[in-house]
Amino acid sequence: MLLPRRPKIPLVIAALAITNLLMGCGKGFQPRNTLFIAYGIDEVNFSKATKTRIEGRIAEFTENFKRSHPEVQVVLSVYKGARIWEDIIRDSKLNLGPDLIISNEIIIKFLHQEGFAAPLPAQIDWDQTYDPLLKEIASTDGQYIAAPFLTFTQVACYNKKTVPSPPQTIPELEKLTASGTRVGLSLEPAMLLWTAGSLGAIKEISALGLNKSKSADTKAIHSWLAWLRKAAFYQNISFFKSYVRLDASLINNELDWITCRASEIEKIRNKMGDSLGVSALPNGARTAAFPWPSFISFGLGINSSPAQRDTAIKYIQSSTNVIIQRQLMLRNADFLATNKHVSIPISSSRTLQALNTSFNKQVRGYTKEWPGVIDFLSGHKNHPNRYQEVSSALADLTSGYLKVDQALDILSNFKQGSEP
Amino acid sequence: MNAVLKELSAWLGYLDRQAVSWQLGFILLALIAATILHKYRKGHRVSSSLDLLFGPLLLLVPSILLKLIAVPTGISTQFGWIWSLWNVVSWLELKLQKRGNASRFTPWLGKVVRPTILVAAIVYFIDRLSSISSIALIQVGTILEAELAIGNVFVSLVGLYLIFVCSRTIAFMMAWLLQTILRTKTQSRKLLEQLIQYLIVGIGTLLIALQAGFNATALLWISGGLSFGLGFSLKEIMTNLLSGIWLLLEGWIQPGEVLMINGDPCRVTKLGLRATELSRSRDDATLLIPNFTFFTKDAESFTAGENDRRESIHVSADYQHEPKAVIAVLEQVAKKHQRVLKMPSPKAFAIDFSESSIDYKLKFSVPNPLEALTIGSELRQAIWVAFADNGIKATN
Repeated sequence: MLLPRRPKIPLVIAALAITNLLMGCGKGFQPRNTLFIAYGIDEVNFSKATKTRIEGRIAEFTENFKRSHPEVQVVLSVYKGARIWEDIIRDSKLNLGPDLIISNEIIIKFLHQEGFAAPLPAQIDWDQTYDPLLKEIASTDGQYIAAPFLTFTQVACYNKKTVPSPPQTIPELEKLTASGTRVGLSLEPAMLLWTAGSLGAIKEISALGLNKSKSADTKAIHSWLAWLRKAAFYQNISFFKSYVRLDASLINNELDWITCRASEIEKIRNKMGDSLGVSALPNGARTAAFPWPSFISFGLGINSSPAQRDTAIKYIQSSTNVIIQRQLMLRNADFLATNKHVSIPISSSRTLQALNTSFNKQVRGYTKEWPGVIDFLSGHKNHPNRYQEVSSALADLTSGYLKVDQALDILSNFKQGSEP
Repeated sequence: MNAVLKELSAWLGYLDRQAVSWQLGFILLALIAATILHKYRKGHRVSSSLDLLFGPLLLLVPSILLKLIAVPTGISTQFGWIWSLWNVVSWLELKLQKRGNASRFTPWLGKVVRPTILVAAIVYFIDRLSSISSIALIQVGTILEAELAIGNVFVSLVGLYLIFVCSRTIAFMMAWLLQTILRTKTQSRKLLEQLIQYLIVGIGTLLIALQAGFNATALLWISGGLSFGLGFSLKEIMTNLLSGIWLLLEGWIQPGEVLMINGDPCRVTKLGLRATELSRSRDDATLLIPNFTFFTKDAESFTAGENDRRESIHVSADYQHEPKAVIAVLEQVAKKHQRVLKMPSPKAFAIDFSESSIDYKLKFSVPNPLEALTIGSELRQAIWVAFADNGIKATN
C-alpha cells in the first residue's frame, strides 16, 4: 500500500504551500483592501449606457471616499433589478456576498429579514444624520438597517418649447391636454398613485392596505378610477406600461409632458438639453399629489471580513456626510440629500425646487398613509401577486376592458387575498 | 481586456475572508488527494468507481457535517456537487464502454454533457464571484463597428459549438421525419440530411453573428467581398464547394450510387461540399474525388439514381436442344436465385446461331451492383448443374 514515490512529495509540498498561502499569507499578494459593492438596474433599463451612468454616479461617492482611503479597491457588480435579492442571497450562502448593497430600503429590509443583510452598527449615532421620516424608512424596530444616501422622487418632465408653464393642478393639466399638449402617464401602479393623491383617494387606499375596516369607504377610490377612465378617453393623454418608453417619447418629441422619476432626469437632460423642464406633479383641488419617492440606500452584507466591514461603514459615513451630500446634490441637481443637515438651495435650480416641492410638500404630507399604501400595492406574503393584479386592473381600466366598478372590485378585494 | 483583468484580480479580495480562503484550501487538498489516489490506482487494483467516488466524497461529507455546526462550507459543497456530477458522467462513460454501447451514447457525453457541466459550473461561480450580468456587459473589442461584449461573445461561442456538434443529429432527425412523412427513398433522405445540415450551419452562423451585434449590412458587404476574394485566391476550393452544392441540389450523384472510377465500380458513401467520398469494392479503399471532377470528366453511373442493376450471362447450347427448353431452364435458374430481383423478372433469349451451337443470353437484375459479379458467378454454376440435370450439353 505504498504510494508511488515521485508524485507524493511535490504534491504534498504544493498542497501545504498553497493552503498556507490561502489561509494565512493571502494578504501577501493581495494589493489592498477590496470593497465589493452590489447594485441593481431595472431589467427594462439594463444596458451598458445605464450601467455607465449609474457607475458614474457611484464613482462620485467613491472618489470622495478614496481621498481619505486611497488603499481601498472598490469593485462594483451590477445585478438585474428584479433578481438582485435572489442573487445576493445565493452569493451570501457561498460567503461571496457583497460588502455593501446599494438598493432601495425595501429590498435591504427584506434581505435583513431573511438574514442576508446586517444592521448598521448601533454604536454610531445615525440619528445625527437622518430625520425621523428617514429613520422610519431606514429602520426596523428602532434599529437602522439601511442608510439612505439619495432621495429620488417623482416629478413632471416637460418640453419647455411646447409647455411654457407647467400645470399646477389636475384641472390645469386637463385644460392643457384640451389645448393640444400631449401628455404621457406611466401605468405602473406606484407611478400612477400620484393621481390618487391629487384626487383625494390616498387615505382610503391606505385604509384598505392596512385592513383596518371591512366596510372601508371606497368613494374616493371610485372617483379616482373614474378620472383615470375619463383620462383614457382624452385624445392627448396616453398611458405607458414602461417608463423607459415614456421617457423616450418625450425625448423624441412625441409627447410634451410626462411623469418621470428623478433618477432618469440626467438621462433625459443629456438628450433634450435646456428644453427639458422639471416641475412638481399637479395637485388636486383639495389634496396634494402623492409622488412616489425612492430612497437609494446602503445595506451591509453579511460575509465581509472585519477589515471589509470597517471599510464599508466608512464608505457609508463618507457618502452620507453633510459636505459630500450637499456638493453632489448641487452638482447633479436630480436628487435630494438624505442628511438632515443639508439645506436645499431651491433658488439655485428649478429642478431642485421641483424636487423639494415634491418631497417636502407632497410626500411628507402623506407620512401616516405610507405604510398602508405600500401594503396596498405589495400585498402580504400570502398575496404575492398583488402588485401584478393592481397593475393589470389599472391597465384594463385605461384600455376599456374593465368598467370603473369592476376595477374597484379588484382593488378592494385585496382583503380576501390577504387573509391567511 | 483591461476591464476583464481588473475584474479577475478583484476576486482576490475574497481571500481576505477566512470563510472563503479555508474552503479554497480544503478544495485544493481534496483535489490533490484525489489525484494521488488516481495515480496510485493505476499501479494497483482499485476499482474505478471507488476512484471516482473518493474525491467528491472527501469534499462533500466533511462539508455537509461542518455545515451542521454552522461552519461556512457553501463553496466546498457546491464544488463537491459539481465534481460529483462530473464523475457520474465519467462513470457512465466507463459503464457504456464496458457494455459495448459506446458508439451510440459515449460521444454525446463527451461532446455535450461534459462541456455543459463545465460551462454551467464556470458561469455559476462567475455569477457568485461577481454578477454574470455585470461581466456580460464588459466590452472586449470592436469588430465591424460592433462592440463585442463578453456576454455576446460567450453566447456566440456556445452557439457555434452547439451548431457544429448538433447540426448533424438535428439534420438526421429532420430528414428522417421528412422521409417518414413523404415516403421518399433512403438516398433522397441522405441527400436531404446533408442539405439540412449545411442550412443549419449557414443560418445558425448568420443568426449568431447578428446576435453578437454585427451589422447585417456590414455582414452582407463582407460576404460579398469575401466571395470575390475567395473566388480568386481559393479558386479550386470554391469551385469544388459550388460543385458540391450543385451536385446536392441536382441529385444526380447520391449516396449509395455506384460509379465507375478508372474502370472500378465504387459506391458513393458521402457527398461532401468539397469532395465526394467513395468506397472502391475491389480493395475497400476510400476515395476522395473533388466534386468539380464530375463536371469536367465523364462519370459512368451503373445505377443512375437506382441501386439495382441489370446484368447478363452468355451461354451456348448444342443444336440438338430445343431453344424453348433451354430458355425455360435458364429463366428457372435465375428465378430460383435468392438475390436476383423478381421484378423486373429474369428473361432469357436465343441471340445467335453459331457454327456449332445456339447462343443464349440470360438477363437478370440484382439489387446491389457491387454484388453483380458474385451473383453472376453463382448463376453460372447453377446453370451448369441445371444443364447437367436436364441433359443439356453446353458448348463453347
